[in-house]
Amino acid sequence: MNNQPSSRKLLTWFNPLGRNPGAWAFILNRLTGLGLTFYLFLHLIVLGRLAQGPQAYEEFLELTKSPLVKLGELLVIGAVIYHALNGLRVVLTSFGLGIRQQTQMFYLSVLLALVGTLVFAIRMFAG
Amino acid sequence: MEVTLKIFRFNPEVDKRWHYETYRVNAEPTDRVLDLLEYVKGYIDGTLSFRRSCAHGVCGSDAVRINGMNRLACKTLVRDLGDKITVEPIMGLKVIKDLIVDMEPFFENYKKVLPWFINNSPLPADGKERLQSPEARERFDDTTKCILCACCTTSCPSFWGSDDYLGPAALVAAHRFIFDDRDEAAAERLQIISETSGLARCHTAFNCTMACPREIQITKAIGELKLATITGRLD
Repeated sequence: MNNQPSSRKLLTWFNPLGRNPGAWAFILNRLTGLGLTFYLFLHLIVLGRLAQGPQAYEEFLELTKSPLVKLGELLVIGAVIYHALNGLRVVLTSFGLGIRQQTQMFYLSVLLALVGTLVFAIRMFAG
Repeated sequence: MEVTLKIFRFNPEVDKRWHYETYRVNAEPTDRVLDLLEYVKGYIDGTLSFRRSCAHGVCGSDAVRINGMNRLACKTLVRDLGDKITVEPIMGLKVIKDLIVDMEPFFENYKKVLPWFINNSPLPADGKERLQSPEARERFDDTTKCILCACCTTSCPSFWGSDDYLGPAALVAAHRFIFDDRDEAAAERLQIISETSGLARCHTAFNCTMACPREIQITKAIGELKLATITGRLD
């Protein structure tokens, strides 16, 4: 469709510079969406362990106690909260509702995602 | 002040691929980017190609990407950009030469929404004009301002992904006629923009609203169209 440099096109898609909060929300929604899709497959693979019997599953679960995996889980939690809240924001703005407040709604989604992640982090690492 | 002007260059008769040329030009802070392009073409390299017509922000010919943002070169001042300015063609359309892109797919999408007044009822008794109240005129005032420069459509990530998406500009045109109470083809247009290549491709990234040199609230207009397709109401 286009003879302009394709690598630049992909970068431009995710380039936050010179954009507005609405576009940042869009970029973040895409990234968290891709991340969550990746996680879904990971999740299914983990559940697939159940088919190999309880012991295989238990052994695998031991892995999830490593801090690195916990950090990954925190990313998933943050992504879920942001993606869900921004989804609601997109539903509203799609119908022309809250267009003037779209920036604030975006910042609120990010804030709530950060707070939510923090709460889970405290429970996971301290609890 | 001295400005470093980096311009996207592509000559299909010579070049296998695009490249950038850098020019150093003297500019006043109140100069427009179009003035710089004219200077380069007039005094440094006459082969530089770009579209311009009225040069006063009305014809919509000189939409280009300036420092990554879609702007009209004739409405963008040097003082708002600093001394490093990059000028590239708008994205999502084929480059013909340098800053000139093939606008045909853009206009094809525009034509799909029937962007003209449709009213087959007989004229009023005096045979003169179809009167409209100021309130009814106000309803679609914002979307009458479009100059078809393509800044919005070529800033839209959905359009970059597929050029069969109607794009913000065509939807703005649809809005202008759908909410005009003298027009009688609203239902037909709503049907056209409800198809998969229409409204559903808008993910409200607000790039179009930011890019519009006429400051049309495009995302809002598209939202009103989405509501209209669901409720069937046009008030």
